Amino acid sequence: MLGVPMLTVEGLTVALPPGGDRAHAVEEVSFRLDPGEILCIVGESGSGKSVSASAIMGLLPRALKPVAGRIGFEGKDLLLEGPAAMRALRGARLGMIFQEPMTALNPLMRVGDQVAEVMQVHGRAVGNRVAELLDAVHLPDPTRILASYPHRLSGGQRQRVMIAMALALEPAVLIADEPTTALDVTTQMQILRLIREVQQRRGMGVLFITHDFGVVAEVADRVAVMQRGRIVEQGAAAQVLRAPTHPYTQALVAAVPHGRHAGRAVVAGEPVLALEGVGKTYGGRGLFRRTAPVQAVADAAFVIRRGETLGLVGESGSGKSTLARCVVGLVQADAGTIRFHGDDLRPLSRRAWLPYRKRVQMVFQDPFASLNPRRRVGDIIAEGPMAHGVSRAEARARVAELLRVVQLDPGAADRFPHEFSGGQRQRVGIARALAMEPELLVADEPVSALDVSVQAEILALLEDLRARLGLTMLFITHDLRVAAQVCDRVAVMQRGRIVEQGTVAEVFERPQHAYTRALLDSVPGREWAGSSVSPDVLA
Amino acid sequence: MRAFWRNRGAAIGAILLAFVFTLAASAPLLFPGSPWDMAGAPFSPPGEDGFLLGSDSLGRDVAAGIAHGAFVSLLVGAVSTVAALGIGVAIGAVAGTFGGWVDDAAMRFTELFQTVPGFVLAVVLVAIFTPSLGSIVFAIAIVSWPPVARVVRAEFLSLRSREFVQAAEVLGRSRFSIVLRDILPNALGPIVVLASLMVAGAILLEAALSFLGLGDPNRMSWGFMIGQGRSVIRLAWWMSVFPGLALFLTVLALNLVGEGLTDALNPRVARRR
Repeated sequence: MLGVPMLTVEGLTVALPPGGDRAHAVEEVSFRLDPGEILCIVGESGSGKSVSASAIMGLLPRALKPVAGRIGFEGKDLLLEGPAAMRALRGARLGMIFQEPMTALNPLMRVGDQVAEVMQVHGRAVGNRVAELLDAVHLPDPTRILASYPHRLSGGQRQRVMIAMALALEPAVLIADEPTTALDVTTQMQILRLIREVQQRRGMGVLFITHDFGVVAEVADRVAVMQRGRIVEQGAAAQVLRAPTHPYTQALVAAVPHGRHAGRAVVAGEPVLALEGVGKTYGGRGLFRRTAPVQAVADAAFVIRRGETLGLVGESGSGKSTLARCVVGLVQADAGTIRFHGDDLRPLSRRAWLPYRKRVQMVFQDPFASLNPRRRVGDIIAEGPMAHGVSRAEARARVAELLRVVQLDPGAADRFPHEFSGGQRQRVGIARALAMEPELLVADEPVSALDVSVQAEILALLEDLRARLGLTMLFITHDLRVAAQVCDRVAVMQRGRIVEQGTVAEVFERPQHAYTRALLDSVPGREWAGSSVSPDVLA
Repeated sequence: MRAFWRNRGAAIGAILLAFVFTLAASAPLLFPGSPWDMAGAPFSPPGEDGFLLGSDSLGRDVAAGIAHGAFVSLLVGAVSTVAALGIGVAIGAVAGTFGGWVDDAAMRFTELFQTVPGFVLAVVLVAIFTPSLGSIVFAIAIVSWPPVARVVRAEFLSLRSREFVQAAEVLGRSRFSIVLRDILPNALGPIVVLASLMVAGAILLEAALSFLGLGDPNRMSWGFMIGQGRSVIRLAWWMSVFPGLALFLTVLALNLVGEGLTDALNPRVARRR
């Protein structure tokens, strides 16, 4: 859209405090935002995309100082405006939506009062606006919701309230910093549609910050790609997504889980793991307290055959992680059987589990939390076998070999976890599991905390290990694209129950259950992923 | 470590504390002989008759008393804190590791001690076991371990659900090894901070006990000196003011160090300064 841009950022450079890994958080960043368009800024963690947004809002942390450039908005340079002038602009002319809806609302204030407050601090009459706004963001029963406290609302509903607050004074520009990252896919899709809808209805300019190319494909008119503080490519969404010119953009687009199945032969080995009627209910009795029981997993049943990868897919709270923890004995299931090569693992005591510990291993979700920060990587990898009677010398000797298997330098053994990046830590976590030479590997969201390019590397590593070591895998993920890529069969979980299972082709092409269909419809950028490559399971 | 020294209050606290340590260590050299012996005329004001800080009603040197008392204060503070840490960490660790009814039982036991006023319990214990360094240390340890148990339990509960501890469980490592190598080292930060504040508390408690005449009768102590000077404070203010000042500065130093440690061990707070 031509015309006068609403917001122009020219040569913005923000200095990092000395001693960081680079001199500037963002360097020479220039872009413009036209009325009625959505500009997506895409980048991996640390690329400076959030710093750019904070600079526009005048919300930079005190340690970060803008040193050059100009942010033009309604004839003013926002970098030169004082705090009072910025306060008057924020909320009124510049709206912002944050990433974490769970913490962005004051838990002690009624929702309606919080929305009204936005108008009151800018001296506007509130009147009936709050209910109108809540209605505009499609919250059901606005009169009930404005009288309730935030804890009564779900994550998606809270994000809608945040959007209502941002829209309250009809700002010219809305800045959305990863507004859907903390949400489940089905909720994410609803919020994306809502943002698109209000933007079109009011002709706002939206600056949308995200790390997910699927989301970009879903909402963006134009895209700016950031790498290490610089914009490396900028252009119309269709062009950047389908024909990226910069090598970094090309690598990022290629790393997006494509949802295409590798097309492996169907495995028909003997069952390694067979679950039947597994259930787990939390809560209940202590000596001095009593809580309402919550059924986390109910009547779960599946079979994994040798060499096969079963994906366990579901949204947060669906019970997929609890089920995985039941399989490795971190959580004791209270119903059903968990047969590993025919032996029921469920009733086993801590001691009786020991012989199976070598054969069933787990890779955890968060590479920053899953390694003890005070132990060296070599010790972390060696301690598993040592706990099972392998001598210290022998265990240490294998560490170098394992590090090579996960493509890390053998010198890594003498360093501490904080010296590594997220992807490298996840490799250490995999090496720790492999040190036990397991038959069954349970991977609980092993890539969900990683940037997209690192995610692709770890998935490739897991695939390579699976083929070389003949691993059987239970792969837990919330990302259908990832599941389609790495799994042979998938089981879809909803509210503690497996609602559908089958081969990837069956489930993704001919979903039987309504929930599976809803999940598939919510995969962001589905059409883009589908049309940019040959027809595939997600098409 | 650098974050600690950048905090000016903590640096001052550490220097003060080092000074008290030196004073305690060099007391036998600076003031040879017993601080209980008469060294000159009674009630000499500071600076007269060769007394730097004056003399007391029996002609004893106040400066010598403070130097020798520093040793008792630090010894009682350190030993009783170590003992309280031992009890508190053990009970907190057991409660946090095993959970369930063990946790309930351990915490109710801890509450039993928390509901009894600490000072009264300490007075009773020292009175029963006759005042001596040993019984004072024992009494202080008994009344000051419950907060340690609470902190350790809370740390254990939060660490137990962390993924690296779960990973250790999946590897099949023994509970003891997990507690020793994975949980305890990561819980040390808050324990160290708490310990530095507990030393201050223990020194105050010891002073309060000897102020009431429940100190070790063979050891000079600041609390005893203040108690003894109390009745003649109009006549000889220096008898109670100087030991009081020593006590105040030592406790202040320990609190400053404790606060500095909190900031240094909690990077998010440290960076904001």
